[in-house]
Formats: sequence, structure tokens, C-alpha cells
Amino acid sequence: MLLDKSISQLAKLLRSKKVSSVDLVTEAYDRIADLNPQLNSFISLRDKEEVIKEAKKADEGIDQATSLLHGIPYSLKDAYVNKETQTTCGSQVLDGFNSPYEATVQKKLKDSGAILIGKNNLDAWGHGGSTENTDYKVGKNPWDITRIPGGSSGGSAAAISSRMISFSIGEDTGGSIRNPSSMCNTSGLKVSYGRVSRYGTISYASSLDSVGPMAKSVEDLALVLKNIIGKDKLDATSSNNNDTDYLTDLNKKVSKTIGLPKEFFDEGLDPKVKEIILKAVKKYEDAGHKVVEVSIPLIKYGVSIYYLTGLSETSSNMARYDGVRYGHSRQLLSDETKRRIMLGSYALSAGYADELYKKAQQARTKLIEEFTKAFKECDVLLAPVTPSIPAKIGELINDPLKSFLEDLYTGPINVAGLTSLSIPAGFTQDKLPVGMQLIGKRFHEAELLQLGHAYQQLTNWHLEKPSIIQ
Amino acid sequence: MTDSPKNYQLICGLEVHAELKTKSKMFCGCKNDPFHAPKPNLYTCPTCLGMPGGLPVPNKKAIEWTIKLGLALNCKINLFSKFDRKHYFYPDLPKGYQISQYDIPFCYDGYMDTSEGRVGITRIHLEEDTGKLLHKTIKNEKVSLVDFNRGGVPLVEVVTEPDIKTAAQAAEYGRKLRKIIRYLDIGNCDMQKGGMRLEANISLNETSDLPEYKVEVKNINSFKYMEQAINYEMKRQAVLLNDDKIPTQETRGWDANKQVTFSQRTKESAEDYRYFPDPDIPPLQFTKEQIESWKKDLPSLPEQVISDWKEEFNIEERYSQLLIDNVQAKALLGSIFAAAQKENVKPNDIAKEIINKNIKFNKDSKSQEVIADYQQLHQTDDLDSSVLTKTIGQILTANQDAVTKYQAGKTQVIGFLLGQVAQKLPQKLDMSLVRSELLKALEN
Amino acid sequence: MKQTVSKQLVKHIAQLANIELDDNRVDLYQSQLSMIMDHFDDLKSLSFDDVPETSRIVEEENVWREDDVDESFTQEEALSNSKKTHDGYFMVPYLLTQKD
Repeated sequence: MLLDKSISQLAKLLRSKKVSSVDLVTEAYDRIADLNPQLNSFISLRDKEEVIKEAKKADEGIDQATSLLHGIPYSLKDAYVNKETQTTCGSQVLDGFNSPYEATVQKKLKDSGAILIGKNNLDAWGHGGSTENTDYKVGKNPWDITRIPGGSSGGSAAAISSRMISFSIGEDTGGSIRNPSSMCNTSGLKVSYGRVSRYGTISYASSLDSVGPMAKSVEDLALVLKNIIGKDKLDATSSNNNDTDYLTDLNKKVSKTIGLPKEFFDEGLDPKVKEIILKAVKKYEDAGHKVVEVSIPLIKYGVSIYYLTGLSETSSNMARYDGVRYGHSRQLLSDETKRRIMLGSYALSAGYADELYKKAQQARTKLIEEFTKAFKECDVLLAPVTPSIPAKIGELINDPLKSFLEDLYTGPINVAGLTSLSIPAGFTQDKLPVGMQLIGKRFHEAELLQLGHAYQQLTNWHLEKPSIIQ
Repeated sequence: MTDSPKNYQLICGLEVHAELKTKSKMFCGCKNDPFHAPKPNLYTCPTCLGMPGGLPVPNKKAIEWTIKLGLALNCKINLFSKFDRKHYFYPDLPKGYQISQYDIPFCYDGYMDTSEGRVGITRIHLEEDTGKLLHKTIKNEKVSLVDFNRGGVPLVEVVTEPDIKTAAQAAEYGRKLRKIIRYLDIGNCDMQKGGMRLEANISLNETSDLPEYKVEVKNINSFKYMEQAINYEMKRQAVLLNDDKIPTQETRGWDANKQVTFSQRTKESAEDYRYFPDPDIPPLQFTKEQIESWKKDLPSLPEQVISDWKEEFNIEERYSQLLIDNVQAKALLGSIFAAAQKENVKPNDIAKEIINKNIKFNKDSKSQEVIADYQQLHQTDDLDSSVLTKTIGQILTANQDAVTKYQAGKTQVIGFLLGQVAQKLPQKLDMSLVRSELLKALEN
Repeated sequence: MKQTVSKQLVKHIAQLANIELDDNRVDLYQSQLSMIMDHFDDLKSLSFDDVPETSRIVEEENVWREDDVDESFTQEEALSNSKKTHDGYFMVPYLLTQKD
């Protein structure tokens, strides 16, 4: 199984001509054909013959290749525009939309020589954490197909977990990369706001959206990240902050102070999850890192702050879908999306904006201060990703508030523009994956990747595969 | 109606929109040239078409020009500013929101003086224009067509205080504002095409206090119409008020054919635009030094130039008014006048000839050439006195009867004789010299 | 159960958001929106006085572009995803009233 190998292993095999890009692409299509009908991980696939041709070209050019991604098959969450397939964002409103331009992240990956296979399923417009709120087929978790894969980038996580693809680009507004990574036993990086260009990303909430890699391991994440970062003149919020080479220092031995924010371990947390996370903490402690308890009191209000911000912005970002220039009538939006648009319109409307939108933005200022203070006592924070294990399909979709509360540990990170890495931390007795997140200061991705990689050198959780492919 | 009609005062404020003539649009690199586009929807991109994933990046020049306009109108400048989203649904607004400025406009608290007093400028902000709508019947079906070549073009909005007291003052303010925008060379203000659009908020009261209602007349595309619309509204509202009725708070349009305003929309509930800061655009922070340097760059305004020219070159105001079009012309004319003075040519004479189009003048004119043209127009060739004497002799010989008449006291024949002499000589003549030589010859 | 959000408000917001709701949906959204808004009410217990608002996380200021013309879509690209076009224009049902 070639796609079980790391990107650097594959890159080596490609360069030694022991494996061809055509082999990788063929395997990807075979596994997708085999598993996608059960998992509904992909919404759109490129024409196989066309992709094989592209792979042949990649094989011919392998000796001149500069990027390790050359010839590696990948997928995009269907929230990015590209020219090879339709872009739906999981909604029938965009069904059949063929973008006349492509996202910066897609352009960069193409330039690196990586090969796009298709576009992954998601909660339409990123609105959800289960991949059930899609207008296409409901996404399933490869570890238990009666359960959700998490979301909204659930299709990407399921595809990586079941080895349909080498890596994928997810999008994280309030946990959408980390949540499914945790639920599908994959690794995912929510970058600092501004680290990767958002140009061509279908906006959920413009001040929270972040574009990041999803893969099997931290090492793979570092490699992909290197290829997609940078200032983009087409995105005014993309950062000038210069980047380090995430790979060079990945193996560097470090000793850090890890903060456990006590509010992330309160009664809302499923004891099964808590136990697994605390074992991971112990592992770090044993490896010589210092662990301290810190406090971020406003986390108690984290869901409100995150949703009032995100939904206000989404009510605005969704206003362009009027069916005039492209797409279909906005009346075809799902209940979940309409509800979110209405909540956001409410929070911004005259008479309510002061108590809702504005108050949330003030709370945001205070929340950032609390994070800054916590980071004076530690280098990174370690916390659970979600309060619970993957829900049964149908459990969350009928309970919108419960579904919102699932974002308690992830949403506030986006509110503060921080970076956070989600990595596998273990399994429940029922063999359901549980992830943890390492949260870093703005633009401290390298630090998180080092720590995450160190953990993956000590544990094998991330190497475990669901039985569906064995 | 028992009371006699009362005297009402006009209380009027203006909102003027003007497109800026930057090369590219406000938030994307599409060409800003909607009036000359050969085809509809030609200058569009993901950003100005509101495609999924398109993002705005503001045009620096448009920001700089807006602040310069503010400085020219004596405004204070907000050192910290930002762009906000203003939400409403309409097919010519591709994103479902317009990027505008809500609570922190670039410029505020300025003024413009008119012959009827000072008009306070409340604020000047920068936003993006909408697409253009066309209404047509196609295959028996009434439809509206949308062209986004104009969508996203930078648009400044200048809002006044309700200081305007007459319709004529409103028109004067509008004309002056247009002159300043053109003079700064930041906008063409083509009113027919919609490059400049006028809105008047009109109400009446017995005192100068703001009454509890206001009527907005929108989409007026000439100063004359604005004057007419305000006068019409004054009459219409006075009739209602005299009847103890309060005019409805509403938006009205101006029908230039019927010479009436008509109701467009009643504001039952206030618009709820749900403004919030656009998260896609980082805020703007200027320094005092930056504003000062823009202020220094600012050319002196038409009024200042008129008084400067009067003082320096003795140019009549009526000529200056006609000559001041834009900054480039001003600088060029200034140097021409200065050069003229050095050569003992009256600048006012040059100004006059330029206006009368007797001298070629355009933006590429060189001052020495213009002066040379003037001198040629007024030059008298040196006349060989023997040639003149000889010519006069010939004319007198050929026109003996005229000579006889002159000698009989009919001095008006001088004109005829002068004409005859001038016709004989090809050069430009100093006619006073010819006249005195002719008189000398006749007396002899 | 007391509903924080009135039916009238649900309808008003739907209108602002350009969303058409039938009576069943008004009822459903009323209860769901009320439940969620009750949760968001927790912020009311906080008092921030003069705390500034953070509406975006960007360190840089004055991110702008020079006034240069870039490439645009062709007319064909611009119209390629629209269901109704005419003569290079997007076509929409006749708009009776002029807006601002």
C-alpha cells in the first residue's frame, strides 16, 4: 500500500524510479473506487485518464523536480476554487459551478508538481462539524461508518485515514481541520490567521478562516506547509511574517513548557477523552518537558464569542449567493446554513449589534489578552480537540446547539488567530480515535510541528489504520 | 385652511457621489473605464464580480485622492480609518454588501464657502460603485440587464450639513465641488453618464432648526435639475405644512419632463444595513507627517488661484474663471503669465486671446511659443518710411475726388484712404503711424 | 417554553437575509434561534466598558495596492456560470423600483 508511506518516503521512491507517480495515482483511484461509496469522502473526482497523463509527465520530470510534493496525489476540501473540477462547497446552490480562476493554495500546489485527484466532502459552506450538513451524500467515519467523520473537513480526514490520498488541504474556521483529524486519527494543522493566503477560499468567516494541511503525520504536514505559505498580494490579510523551513528543525531536540488550560478539562469533557489526553501529557512529561496548569477564564464564553463572530461574518459572506452571476437560488440553502445566516443577521442588526456582535468583539480582545498572559507561563498549550468522541450519524444534526458546543475547544483558537496542531493521542475501548491539540503563539507553527513530531516519534497512534482498509 | 400661509425656511443638505478616475478599480486590478468599455462585463474579476473566494485589496491612490479632496475642502482627517461592509440585496451589488466607510470616514468636519454663506462638510468617505442596470423588453418579457464594468469603481461621497438655504446655493455648491474635483484632477464628474450623482435632503421649517421629517430626492443628474427639484419640493412641502400635514419621510425622484418630484419609496422602517468592519481589509493608519506632505502636494484651489493671478498678473477674474480647469493647466498658465510679464506683454491680454482662441493653447503648450504666438498676432512690421510715403502718394493721386472732399472738410474720408493704403501694403501696419503720415500728406 | 425570539423578529431577520420562510419554518427557526440566543446571552453578564473591539487579527496596517491595471476575466469567463445572460449582460427579472 503505497499511500500508507510518508511523503518523504514516496519522494525518495519516485526519485529512485522504484515507484512512479502513475502507480500512486492509480492506487488512489482504485482505493477511492473501493471505499468512497461507503465513506462519501469525495464530491468530485477528476477524469482518471487526464490525471494519469499528468502523472506520466510528472514521472518524466522527476529528475528536475525541486519540491518533494512532485508527483504526489492530493485532494482539496471542496471549499477552494480550482479549474479542474466543479466547486460546490457541499451545497446544491453551487452545484455545477466551474470556477474561471483558481485559489492561491491550489496554484502553489500545482506549481510544486503535486497532482490533484479530486475535491472532498464537507458540511456545506463549512457550516457544521460532522460532514452531515452536506447536500451531497453524508460523510462517514472510516473507523465506524455509523459515526460522523467530524467536520467540516470530514471528507479530507476520511480520505487520508483510509489512504485514498496522500494529503489534503482543509480549511479551519472554528475547528474544521482539527475536529475531523481527531475523529479520523489523522494529523491536521490550523495555521495562524494570515499564514496561508485565503484567496480563492470560499469564505465562511473572513476573520477566522485559515487554510491548512491535513495528512497522516506531522512530518508530512511540515512538508506540505512549506509549499503553501507566504504573502499573497491578492489577500490583504496574508502575513509578511517570514517563514522558517519547517523541515530542517523538525527533529531538533527541544524542551518546552506545556500549559494545560484548566478550563479545557472541565466537566464538559468526556472522561474517556480526558483520560487519553492526560496520558499524552504524561508522555511529554516523561520525555523531559515541563507541564504547568494555566487558566483562560473566558473560555467559558468561548462558544458565544466564536459563534457571534463567525455567524455575523458568514451572514455577510453568504450574501453574494443570489443565483445571478453563478449558482442557483439562495432559497436552496440548507436549514443549517439558513439558521446560521439568520443568527448572524440578527447579531448585526440594528438594536442588537451592540449586545451581540460588538460585545463579542470586545470579549475577543479580552480573550486574546488571556491567551497572551497564558503564553507568558508556557510555550504551548495542550488540550483536547473535542469534548466528545465521534457522534452517531444523526445525533448532532437535530440538535443545533449541541453541535455548536462541540466547538468549545477549537473555536476560541480561531478567535485569537493562533495556530493549533491536532494529532492522534489514542483510542477509546471501542477503537474510536481521540486527538489532542497543541496550541501555539501566532506564527509559531515550527514549534508545534517539532513537539508534535517528537510525540509521533514516541508513539504509533498516527500509524494505525481503520479496519475498513485492512 | 384658516391660517394664512406661513414663511418657511429651506433646510437642505447634499450628498454628492463622484467616481474617481484611477487607472484601476477600488479593490481589484480591473480597468476603471466603464464609459469607454467596448463590451459589457469586460473589466471584471473574482473580486469585483463577487465570485466565491474573491478578496479586496484597496487602491492606495484612491485613498490618497480622497484625503486630498478632504484637505481641499478644509476637512479634518482621521489618522485611523477602516473600511466597513454595508449590506443590502440588489442585483447590481455583487457581494450583497458594498465596501464603504461607516463610523470612521477618511475626512470630516470641513466646509465650503458659497456666495450665500458657508456650507459645512460633515464627512467624505470612499466606497465602491455598483454595477449598471439596463431595463429592456426581450421577447415580450420585461427584464433588467446588469453590467459590472462599473462595479467596484472608486466612489467618493461628500456629505454636507443641512446648511443650504436656497436652491441656487445648492447648485452653486455642486458646481464648485465639481470644479474642485476636476481641478484636483481626480475625477471627470461626467454627470450625464453618472460619474457624479446628486442627492438632496430637503425639509422646511419656520425656524432654522431641523424638523422631524426629511425628504430625499435622489438620482439627480444636473445642477439645473437639482435647483428645480428643490424649488418644487419647497412648494410641495409648504402646501402640506400649511395644511398642518407633515410631509412623508420618503425617497423621491425628479422627473425632468414633467418638472415634478415623485415618490420612489416610503421609509416605513429605517434601513438596516448591518454595518461591520470588513475583516478582509486591514485598517489604515496615517501619520501626521503623511497628511502634511499630502497637504503640501495639494495645489492651491481655484479661488486661491484667481486671487493670486489677480494680484500677481492683474488677470481679470472672468478670464481666470474660464481658464482654471485643472492643476496642469494652472501650472502652465502661471509660467506663461510670468514669462509674458518679463517680456513686457500684459498677461491679461494673453489670457484674453487664449479664451478667444486666437492663440493655440493646450496641455503641451510651451510658454515661449504661446508668447511668440501672441506677439505675432499683435506685431507691426517695421515699415520703410520711403515705401509708405510713396504708397500714400500713389493712393492720393488715384483718389483725387476723396482728396477734394477732405479739403472741403469731409474728414471722414480718412477711413477710406487708410483702408486703401493698408490694402496696398502686405505687412501688418502700425495704423497710427500710417494715419499721421497720411494726414501729413493731405495737409501738404 | 418562553421564546426569546418572536415570530415577527424571525420574519424580519429572514427578510434582511433574503431568505423565504414558510410558516412551519418560522416556527422551527423561532424555537431553534431562541435556544441558541439564550445560550449567547451568557455574554450579557460580562461588562467591558471601554475595551476596544477586535474585528480581525492582522498585525499589518495600510495593506494596499498601487494603482496598476491587472488582467481581467474575458467576457465569456465572467458570464460562464450564469444561467441567464443576454448580449454580454447578466439578466434578471425586471426590477420595478430603483434603489438608492
